[in-house]
Amino acid sequence: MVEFDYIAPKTMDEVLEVIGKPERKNSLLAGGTNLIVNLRANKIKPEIVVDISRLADFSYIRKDGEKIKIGSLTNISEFTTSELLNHQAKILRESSIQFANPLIRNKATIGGNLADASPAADAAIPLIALGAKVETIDSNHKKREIPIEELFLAPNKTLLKKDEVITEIEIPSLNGNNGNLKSAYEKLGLRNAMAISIVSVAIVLKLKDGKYIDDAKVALGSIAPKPIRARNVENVLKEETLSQSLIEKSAEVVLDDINPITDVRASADYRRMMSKALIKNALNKIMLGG
Amino acid sequence: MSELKLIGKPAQRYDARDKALGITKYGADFVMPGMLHAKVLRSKYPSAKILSINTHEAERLPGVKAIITAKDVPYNERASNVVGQTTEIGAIQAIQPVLAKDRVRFLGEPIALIAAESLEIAEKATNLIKVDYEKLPVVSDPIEAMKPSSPLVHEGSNILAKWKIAKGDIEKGFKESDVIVENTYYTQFQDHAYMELEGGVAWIDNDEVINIRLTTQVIEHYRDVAKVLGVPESKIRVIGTFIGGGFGGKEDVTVETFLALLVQKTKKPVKLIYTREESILAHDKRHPFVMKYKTGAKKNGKLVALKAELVSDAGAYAYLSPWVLLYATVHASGPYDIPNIKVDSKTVYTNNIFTSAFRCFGGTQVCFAYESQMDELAHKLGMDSLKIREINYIKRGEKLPAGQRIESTVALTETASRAWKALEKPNKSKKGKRIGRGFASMMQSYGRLTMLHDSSHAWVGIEMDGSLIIRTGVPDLGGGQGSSLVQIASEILGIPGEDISIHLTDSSLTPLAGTTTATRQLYMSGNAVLQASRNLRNMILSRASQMLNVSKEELDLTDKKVIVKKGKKEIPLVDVVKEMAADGLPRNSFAMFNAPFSKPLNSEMEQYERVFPDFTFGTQAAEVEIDEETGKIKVTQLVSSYDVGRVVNRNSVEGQMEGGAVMGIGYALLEDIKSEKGIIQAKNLAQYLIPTSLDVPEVKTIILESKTGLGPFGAKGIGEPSMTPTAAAIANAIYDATGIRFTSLPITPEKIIMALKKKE
Repeated sequence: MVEFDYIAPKTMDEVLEVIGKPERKNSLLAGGTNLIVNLRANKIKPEIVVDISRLADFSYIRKDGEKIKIGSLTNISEFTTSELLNHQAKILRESSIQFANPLIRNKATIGGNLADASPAADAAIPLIALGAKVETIDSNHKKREIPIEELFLAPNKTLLKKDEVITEIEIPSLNGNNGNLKSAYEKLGLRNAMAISIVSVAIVLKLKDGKYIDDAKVALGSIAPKPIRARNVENVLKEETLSQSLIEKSAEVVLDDINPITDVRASADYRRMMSKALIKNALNKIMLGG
Repeated sequence: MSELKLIGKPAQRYDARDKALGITKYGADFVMPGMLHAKVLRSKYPSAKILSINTHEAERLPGVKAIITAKDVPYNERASNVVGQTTEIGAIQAIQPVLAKDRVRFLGEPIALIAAESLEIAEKATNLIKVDYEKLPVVSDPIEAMKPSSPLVHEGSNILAKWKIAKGDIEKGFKESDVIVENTYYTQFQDHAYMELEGGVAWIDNDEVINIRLTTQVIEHYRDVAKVLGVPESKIRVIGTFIGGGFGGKEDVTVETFLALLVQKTKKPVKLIYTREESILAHDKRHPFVMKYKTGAKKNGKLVALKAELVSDAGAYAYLSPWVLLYATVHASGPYDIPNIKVDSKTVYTNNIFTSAFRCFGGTQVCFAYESQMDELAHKLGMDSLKIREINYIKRGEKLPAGQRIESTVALTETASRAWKALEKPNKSKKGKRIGRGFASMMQSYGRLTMLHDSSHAWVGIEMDGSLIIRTGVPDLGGGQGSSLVQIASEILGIPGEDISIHLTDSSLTPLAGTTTATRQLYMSGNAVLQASRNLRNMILSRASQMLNVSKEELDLTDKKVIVKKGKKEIPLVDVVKEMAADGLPRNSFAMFNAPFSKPLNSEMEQYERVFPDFTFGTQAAEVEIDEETGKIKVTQLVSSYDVGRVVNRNSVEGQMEGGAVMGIGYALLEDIKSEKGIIQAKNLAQYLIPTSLDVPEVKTIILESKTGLGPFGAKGIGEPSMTPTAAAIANAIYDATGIRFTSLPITPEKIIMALKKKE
C-alpha cells in the first residue's frame, strides 16, 4: 500500500478546498468498500485520501414533490429498509437486498458505488432504468446534473472531474401515483451473497390500461465496459402491448445492445444467453403481476 | 469399564468462549518489542531462468535490516525421498529449494526474504530488488507434461511417482461383464481458503534457541528448519497457536523457515504474515486429477472389473504428491468388493502451483469418479441405486485390492439407506426448475500410513488441589482436538473439565503428538491421553484402596472424589493426592501410543497386509434444484450419515460433518483457482468463490456408532471423511435432475446451460 495523507473534513466546503488543489492526487473515501481494496492492490496511488464519510448532511432518502432525493452518502442498508423506496421505487429496494452482504451494505454508499463505475455496479442498473440523475458540485461550487446513464465512460471511469463530488441522486417522478409503473430486477451471480454479477437487468415500464407500454427503460450490468441502457429492447417494448411474443422479441434484440467479454466469472457466450434469459424473466415477472 | 458419563455427549468446548469473543490469540495476534517485519519476494513467471538478483538498492533503503537470497541460506536445497518409484524412473530424490536460485518453476516461487523496521519499508524494499529473468516454456497440463516433447520442470522426467494395484484378471473381468461404463473425470485445483492466513513471529532466546510462534498443523517441522539453518534440532522450538483453519494447507512448511532464517541473520524478533493474495500464491492446492474409469458389472449388478488410470498434477515441486497419489490409488475402487482390478496412477510435474495435502488427501477425487460410475451402472442396468451398492459394498473381514483386510464395522448399507430416507419429500417441481436427488458412499482412511510407524505422546498430571494438567503437542485446528482430549481425561479421572488445563502444540515443552493431519489426532493422541489418564487413575485408586481399606476394583473416581461403588464411603480426591505426595509417589503419567506398524510399500503393491490403520465409512445424499433458464444450482437438501465408531464430543462431530459437507458443496459447484498456463486467475476471495451461508442448506447429520474403531472407546475419524462424498452425491443429484452426467468439477451454471443446450 502506498503512503498517503489522510484528512477527514467536517464540511463540504473543506472537502472542495482540498480536492480543488490539482497538484495533489486525491481519492475520496465514503464507505471504503472499493477504495481500501484498490489501495491494498496498489491499483490507485493517491497522495491524499479525503474521508467524506463524516459529512453530516448527505445521508437521506426523502420525497421532494413527486421526486425522490437521495443523499450521496446514504449507505445501501438504508435502501433495504426504506418505506419510501418500497412504495415508489421498489426496484431500488429489491436490488439493494442483493447487493454484496449486510456488512458491505452497512458501509457502501450510493455515491461511492456510482463513482467507482464498475461495469457491474449493482446500484447503477436500477437507477438507470428509473431515469435517475446525479447532482454534483465542484471546487468552484458549481453544480451540475448528470443523467446516470451518461455518467460512466469505461471501467472505473466517469465524467466526474477530479475536483467534483456527487452530492445527491434524484429519481424523477414516474408513476404519478396511478399505479401504472411496473418494474423488475434480476441479478445472476455465482453465489447468493458477495457475488459480482454475471449479468444484471433492471426494467421499468410505464403501462397504460394494464398492458400497453407507454414508456420503457431497460438497463443491464456486467455485459459491456460500463452499465448500459438497452435501447433496442426499449424500442421493441415501447408502444406495444406486453405479451409472450413481445417478451421473446425483446430478449432476442438485447444481443444488439450488449458487448460482453469472457472473464473469470463467465464466458461472453454465457453472458449473451443470460442477458436474454434475464430480460425474459424480468418481463415475465412484470406480466405475471409484478 | 463402567458406563461413560461424558463421552458421546455434546460438550461445550473450552476454547469456544474466547474464540466467540475475539480473545484467542492466533498466529498474527502477537508482537514483540523491537520486532522486524518481513516480506517475501516471489517470482513473476511460472517458468524462467533467474539471470541475476540485485539487492543493492533495497539494502540501502533506511530501515532495511536483512535481505536473504538463496546464496545466504545455509542448506538451501532440501531433498526428500519420493515414494512410489518404479524401476523405470529409478530411485530419485525430489529437490526443493528454500529460495529459488537460478530457476523458478511456478508463479509465486519465493526468491528473497526481506526484514525491515516496518512493513511499509519491507514492502518498498521488496519492490526495489531487481530480478532479471529469462522466460522459459511453460507446461501446465499433466497429460502434456508426460509427452517426451514436453519441457522438463526438473531434470530427468516430469513423472514424479507411480503406483499400481493389480488383482485378479482384468481382461477376463471385462469379458464376463454384461455392462461396462467408461468415463474420464476431471477435477480442479482447490484452495483451502481458511479464514486465518499463514503467519507468525519468531525470536531468539539467550540460549540460542530460535522460537517460532506460528499457525501450523505440524510443529515437527522444527526438524526441517534446523536442517536448513544447519543447527541442532534442539535449537529450534516451534510454538503452535490455535489455528483458524488448516484443511491440509498448513501441513507443509509455510513461514517457519523464512522466519528462522531472518532471525538467525538479524538476531531480532521477526513477524511475517501473508496477505490473502500471497497466501493463494504461496500454499499448495488440492490436486487436479484426470481419472479414466472403466467399470464392468453383471446383469444382477455385481461388479466384476474395474480399471482406473489416474493422473494427478503435482505442480512444480514434489511436496506430498506421491503420498496423495498413494491414497488415491488405494481408495480408487471405493468401498466395493470387486474381483478384478487394475489401477495405474501417476503424478506429474508441471509449472502450476504445487499441490499437496488437502482434506480427503486424494480420496474425494476418486470418490467423484467411482460413485459417478456406480450411479451410471445403476441407470444402465435399470437398478435401484441403493440396491446396486448394497450388493457390492465391501464387508467386514474382506480384503481391499491392496490386500488390507477391513477389521472394523462397515455400516454402509445402514448409512446409505438412512441418508436416502432422511431426504424429505421433494418440493413440488416448479415451472422452470428441475429437481434431482442423488447420493454417494465412501471410505476414507484415518490415521497415517502404517509404514510410517506413527506415534503420539501425552503427559497427564494431577495438582495438589486436585486439578489436572495435560501436556501434548497436538495442534488444535479448530476442530476441537484439545477439547476432546480434556473430555477423555475428565471421563477417566472424574475431574470436571473446568478444573483441567491442557497445554498443546509446543515442540519443546509438550510431548510430541504428531501432526494434526490424516484424521489422526482423536485416534492417536486420544489414545495417548486415555492411556496416561488410565495409568494415573490406577495410581490414585491404588493409594485410595489402602486409605479406604477396600480393593481397587471396588472404587470409582467421580466429581473429584474417590467413592466405593457399592457403599457410602468416599474420600475427596485431594486427600488421596496429599497422601501420594507425602509418600513420594508419582502423580503423573506419560504415555506413548503406537499405531499398527507395517513394512514399507513399493509401487507394485499387490498384497499388503496393511496400508492404513483403519477406515471410516459413510454416505451423503443430496437434493438439487436447477434453474432451466440460468443453470443455477441450488442444493436444497443435504444429509450426511457416518459410522463414526464412537462419538466423543457430539458438537464437534456434528461440526465436522456439517463443515465437511459445506466444503464439499464449494468443491462441487464453485471453487476453482482457474490456472491458465501456470497463472492463477482467481487471485483473491472475490474471484475464488467459496459458499456463503446463503448457498448451503441446513446439513442434516445422522451419526452411527459401531464402537469398532481404533480410537478411544472405539472411535473412528470424521474430519476428512466428512467431505469425501459430497461432490459425487451432488453430481449424481444433478444427473437425476438433468439426465446429464457431468464429469468435470466444479459443475457451474454455465456448464449446465451449455450441456442442456447441447442435449436439445
